[in-house]
Amino acid sequence: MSEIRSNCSICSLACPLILRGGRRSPVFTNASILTLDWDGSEDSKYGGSLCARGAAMVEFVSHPDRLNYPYILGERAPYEAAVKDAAKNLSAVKKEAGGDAIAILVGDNLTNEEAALALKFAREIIGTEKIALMAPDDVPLFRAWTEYDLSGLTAAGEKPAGERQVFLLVGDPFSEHPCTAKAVAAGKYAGRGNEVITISTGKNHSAWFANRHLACRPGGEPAVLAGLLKAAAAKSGASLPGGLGKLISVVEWNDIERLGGVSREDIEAAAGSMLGAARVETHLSNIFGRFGAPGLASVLAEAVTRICPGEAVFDAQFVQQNTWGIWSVLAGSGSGKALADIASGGVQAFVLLGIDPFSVFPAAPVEKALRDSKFTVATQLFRGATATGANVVIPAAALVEKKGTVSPSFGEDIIREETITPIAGAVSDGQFLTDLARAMGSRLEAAQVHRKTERAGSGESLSADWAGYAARMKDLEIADTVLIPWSEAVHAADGSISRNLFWSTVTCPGPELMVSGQIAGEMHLRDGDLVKVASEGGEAVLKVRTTGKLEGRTVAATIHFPSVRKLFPWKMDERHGEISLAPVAVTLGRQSEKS
Amino acid sequence: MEKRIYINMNLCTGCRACAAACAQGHHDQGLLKHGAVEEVALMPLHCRHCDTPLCLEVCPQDAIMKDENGTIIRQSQLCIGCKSCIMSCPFGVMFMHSTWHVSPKCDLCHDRLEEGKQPRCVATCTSGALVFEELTELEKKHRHAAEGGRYFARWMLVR
Repeated sequence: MSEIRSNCSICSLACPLILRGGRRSPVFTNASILTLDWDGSEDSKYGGSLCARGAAMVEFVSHPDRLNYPYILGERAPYEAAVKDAAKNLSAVKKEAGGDAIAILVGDNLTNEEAALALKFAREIIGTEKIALMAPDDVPLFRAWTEYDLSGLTAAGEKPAGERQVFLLVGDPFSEHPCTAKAVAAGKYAGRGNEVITISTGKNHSAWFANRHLACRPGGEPAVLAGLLKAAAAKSGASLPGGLGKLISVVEWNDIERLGGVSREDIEAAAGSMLGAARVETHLSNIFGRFGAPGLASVLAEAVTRICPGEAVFDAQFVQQNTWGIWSVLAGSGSGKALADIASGGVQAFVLLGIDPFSVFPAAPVEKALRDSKFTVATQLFRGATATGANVVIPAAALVEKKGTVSPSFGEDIIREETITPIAGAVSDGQFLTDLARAMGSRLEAAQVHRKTERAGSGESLSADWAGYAARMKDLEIADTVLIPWSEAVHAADGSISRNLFWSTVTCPGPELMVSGQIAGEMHLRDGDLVKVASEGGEAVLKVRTTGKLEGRTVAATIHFPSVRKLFPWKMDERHGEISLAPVAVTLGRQSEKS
Repeated sequence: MEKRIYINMNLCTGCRACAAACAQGHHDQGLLKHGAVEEVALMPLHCRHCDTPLCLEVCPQDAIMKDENGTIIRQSQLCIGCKSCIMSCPFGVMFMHSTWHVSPKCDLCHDRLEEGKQPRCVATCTSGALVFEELTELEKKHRHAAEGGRYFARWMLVR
């Protein structure tokens, strides 16, 4: 039995793991048994532990629902026929309406090489610039990184003496990426005076560990971070460059307190603690844009970390593993704007690579464009909503089954030279693109991949972002009830893992609405009652569960279920072509008693 | 060599990785459950491998036995699924398998112990809350948790 050292391919942390077996075939033999182990060696990341999602990697890649063969119009077909059919239809659309009528949507299930191949395929063979990375949860953070140049930012003053450490957690990194918990918890108890500061709505898992919990209003994280930066700059006398300085001088304390819901004294005390620490480490976790403005929050969090005179570590954790790598490969191709172009109409054919947009990101404008198209070819892992609707479906290899380069959120790129064989019948996206190009009469060669992640831009539009954020938060201020997008540790961001783990039905049995004690008291709700939730995006009937994690007039729902997801209106930002998802205003209506 | 698992509730994040790892290693039947403590924290509930195990006492088939390491092991061939052990367990950590009509229980991953590794739940703990150590060491370190009580909890809790 062979032993393959690999990496978990669920999220951007890429924890090391060991796969045993790996020569998988349709015929069951001893060699085809696949098992998983933790890389428990001392030097491995976080001591080699895996979260619930990572531990289910074997279940995920060997799931009986995985696609084993291609489909043409819902009928099982041989691979060659499927490629030929896709090539014929794409060529017809190209001839009739030009290459611009074909769009390519790329998901996270690609290696850097495959992303480069997809870009080459779009430009050389199709002749279109409409190629976009679709990852609404991660893209705002990347955009903030590339658009706001923080290189002029310098630490204020001398490095404080001692070894005091401060950890700033924004959102809920312990739930989304539990592997970070080991490092943070060890650091918290490593010395006297070490502190964990958490900025979050409600008492989530990260807040449970906090010495200082800055409990903000729903969507108030960017406002609290702006307050931290303002307080830190005032206290240390540091000057902030460009748009950052302008923003901090314009934003008033009463605005910060109103939008963030945290008092000035608390924010100033937290800033003082960070300035006096010998080491400041920030973890920013953002699943499905749960902050009011994730890009803004990311820039402000990085700025406040780097202004601290101690050693500064900033880490924005992405939801999907290789979105950073794909983003950097597609950088400069106008990928950001492409999504808005696609949504504006005129696209007749789609190539979907490693993405299930109907199940995962039911963004109304993109969904409409997909429904209006004449022809869709998709590489899919499971027979989800996209696979049911696409004209040609190709069974795809999962990321952990592919050779190539992937880029985790921090640390070195991972070059996977050895891996398990894909499940029988599945082909990698790179192989499919090469075959498709050949069927269309061209040759496609694998490209050399370099990561290009240089900072650009001046950060002048920071105040425009703040104005947009403040305007959006006004809707929440006058709202009767605010619905917060929630997530559970056992669910992958796209919900795919939750379908595979049998106990996830025990821990999170279905789309539930968590309500605060206040609302439960006012509406006389008991656990199990049905409540109709209506928002701008749609409405749903959900079962109620009272929780102590929420305060005031707030409710929360787990976003991994399609019925919950439609409550959130997916807004397309025309300037950048990205989709945002933030807390929304809802109205509650009692439906029935517990049955 | 008696080694036991110790849980430090100050460190548990409730990520359920231990439950996932347990199920992954035991043919999808998780032998470890989670209990919610006052709605704000989750706590893994494991078999405590008691000194005087009630499940062993009540078993009419003598299917539950104690091995040389003090681990309480259930022999699947002998179990008739009478649920006596489930009813007798003072910690409520035993339960019924829905399809096999037997009551599986934690075996401290003895297959891994033989290889010199830690049990699955400990190896994968994401925050370092679960520790697998010599019983004497644990008693020395956490005396306050070991004192008192009729049932000496091998899976001790501190808070």
